[in-house]
Amino acid sequence: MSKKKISLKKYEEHLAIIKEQLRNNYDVIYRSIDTEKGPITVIYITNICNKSFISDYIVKPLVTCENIPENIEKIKNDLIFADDIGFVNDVDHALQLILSGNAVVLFGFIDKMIYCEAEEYTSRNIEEPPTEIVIKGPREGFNEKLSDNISLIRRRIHNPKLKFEKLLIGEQSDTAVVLMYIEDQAPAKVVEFVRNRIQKAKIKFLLESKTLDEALQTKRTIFDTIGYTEKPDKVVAKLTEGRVAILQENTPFAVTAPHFFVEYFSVGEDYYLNGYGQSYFRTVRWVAFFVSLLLPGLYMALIAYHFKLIPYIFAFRMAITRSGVPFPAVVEIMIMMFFFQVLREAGIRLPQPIGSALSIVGALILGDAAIGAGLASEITLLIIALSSISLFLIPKMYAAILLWSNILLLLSALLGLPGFYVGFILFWSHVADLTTCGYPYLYPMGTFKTFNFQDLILRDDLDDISKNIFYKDEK
Amino acid sequence: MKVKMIAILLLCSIFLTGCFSYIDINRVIFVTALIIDVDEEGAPIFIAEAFHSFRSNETNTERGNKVFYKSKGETVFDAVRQLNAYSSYKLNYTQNRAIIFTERAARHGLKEFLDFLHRDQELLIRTFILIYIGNDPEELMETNLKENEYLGLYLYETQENPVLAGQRAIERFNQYLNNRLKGRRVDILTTFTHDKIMGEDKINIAGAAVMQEDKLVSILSNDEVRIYHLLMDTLHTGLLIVPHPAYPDKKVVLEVLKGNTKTSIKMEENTIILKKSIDIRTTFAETQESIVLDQGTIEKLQQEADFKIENEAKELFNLYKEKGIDLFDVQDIFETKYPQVTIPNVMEVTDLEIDVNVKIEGSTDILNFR
Repeated sequence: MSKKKISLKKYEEHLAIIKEQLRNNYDVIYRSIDTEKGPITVIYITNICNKSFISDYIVKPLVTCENIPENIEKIKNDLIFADDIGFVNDVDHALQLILSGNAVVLFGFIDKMIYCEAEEYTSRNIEEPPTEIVIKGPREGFNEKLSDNISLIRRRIHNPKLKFEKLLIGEQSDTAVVLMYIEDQAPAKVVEFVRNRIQKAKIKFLLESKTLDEALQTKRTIFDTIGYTEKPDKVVAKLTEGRVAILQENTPFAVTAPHFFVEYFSVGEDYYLNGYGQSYFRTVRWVAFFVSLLLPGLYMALIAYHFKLIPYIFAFRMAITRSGVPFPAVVEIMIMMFFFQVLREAGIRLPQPIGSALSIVGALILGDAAIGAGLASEITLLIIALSSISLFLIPKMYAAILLWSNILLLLSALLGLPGFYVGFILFWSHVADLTTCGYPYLYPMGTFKTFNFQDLILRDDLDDISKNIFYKDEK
Repeated sequence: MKVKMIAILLLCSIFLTGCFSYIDINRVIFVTALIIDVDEEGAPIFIAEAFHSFRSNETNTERGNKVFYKSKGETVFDAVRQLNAYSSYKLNYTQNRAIIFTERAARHGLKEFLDFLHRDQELLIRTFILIYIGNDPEELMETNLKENEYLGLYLYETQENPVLAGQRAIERFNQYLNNRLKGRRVDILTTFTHDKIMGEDKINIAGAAVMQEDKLVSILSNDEVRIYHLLMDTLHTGLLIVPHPAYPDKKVVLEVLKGNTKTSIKMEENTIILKKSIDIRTTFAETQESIVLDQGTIEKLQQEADFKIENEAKELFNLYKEKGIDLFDVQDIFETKYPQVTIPNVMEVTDLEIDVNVKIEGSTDILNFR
């Protein structure tokens, strides 16, 4: 059999396999071109490719060329005008390229295939992320397009040591994931840990960054031991501190690792506004954390067991306000907590204008009605409202605090203050037991090692904190 | 996780008193004052003033009420249990602010009542202990005080008022439990009376009851309490009224800023000398006639004050020496210094030596008055 016939047979085989694999897909285009040398087929998916680009720079040269060379190198270098062009290894590779927004060209007279990058997705604009709004500071947020997101990072750090490693994750989705770090700044063991974990994770379809997040977690917990953000400035800040970030196609959330407990209390403005003011606000966030975590349990213990610890004026007032409530205090608190959770869920799920209106209605009318109906007392309402509002100061820890405040509440209802203390100790022992990328989750708290973390409760000078956060010997 | 679960179960077992003690704050009656009296046979009579919260179905509002309870029993605990026979909810003593003994009970002796008051966890030991000088405790409970509806809370507030602290024998229950065991077991407790001024019920807290072996043996007047505090180094505020240096029938008032008394004791053959060195910082507070506060006048005023305090202190000391009551803890001071020497009643052979040094540091506002 002549070389030409072999090439034609391979062409037909490859085309048949591709057609079989991509059957029942209306948007897959097979553009056939008959030349005197033999058939050529350009395959692409119209919804994720730039049609005019393919038409102008791939199809047109092939159609108009009077004497198509039989040398694949010549076709690649001289005939096709696309910038990003390469050889296809086999049919599986061809399928992957087609599904990723490339145009694959099959030749009936050459036994090689080539691809040209022609992807064009519709993507969201670069907007301010609704979950991380800042008063002062960059307002850009990631969108769902990986290349856009990488450009937002690249624009901020012009350093050859900033590395972007591309990985394809998902046995069946082959989703592009980019691992980012600054060489020599990020500890090698952290980079290695993240890379290994992601590559070894048994993921079939990688849809959202939470899947990567869970792959990086070392222990099942309600706390986020891996961070996430929608803001490029935050990602860059974390990279400069020596952390690793991961961007993924189709999600605006970047994953950052390691992520420490204290990071819950930092917001973008801490670094964009006056340090003294922000140190105060961060202290408020810490206080709010303790209020939301401890207040319901402490209140429960005091009003059911330890009256002697309540000043008499307050004790009498509590007794009066509760005298119209038929339930035990623990049931009353649970009812009110449930009300607040219902309101919160409704506020989140509804469109924003209706959601905010509902919150006001809930806070003003429902609370008042609950007191009037004898479901709760004013003081309980105040305690639960204060505790719930305090939760909103640390939104990323919402679920964790809610769960633990309920545990403390139940232990306090069962055992009084001893139960409260047991719950408090359990909480901290659980948090202290967690690790993130091999580092203690509570770092830099609870360690005697020398560390450079100048950013715990009070914000130090920006010059001092924008350095490596890890142990000095790991820098 | 298993370890944590085991730890929780163990801790639950240890603190298992918890859920048995669960009681909602509105399902108790808070006692605010407790009066302890005795009948002719010496059996304890308990009268409790309490706060009760409830929802009125008439007015459809939540309210708090003052309620009284009275009971009698063979012992204190018995009487306390009997109180509950008249109440809808359990009486709770965690907000009790005053333990009041009637004069009759104090003369009978507090000893048989103290164990329960100390032993029961619910009764606070930081509450104030007072002696009511009067005959009718029920009338006292019905006192209609305009400053506070509750007698117990009113008494608590007055005890925390620092202005007249120098004239009172403020003592919390836990302090009394300690002091009653020291030396010859003498201590003083606040006394008060129920008066009517311009038609209004008033509580007059003044003077102190001298308790020996938990029995009321004598009563100190306001001035005597002031001197007592000076000698015992517990005077923090007060007034010294001395004669005017130029007009003997007129008075000058010095306000005490700080008092400091050092005590020492020494044995000399058959006598024991109790030495008190009293330094008092005062400020010139009032004069009834014009005065020029030059150095000479100030020195004269200081001498007058020294002389007055010395006389009053010696008078009070000798009075109680004659009574055989160790009001100034001489026995305790002596035994601390001479643990090897045994003298059954040190007070009998003790003389007071006193060195007073009053210093006038200035004036409250203006320097002279014409």
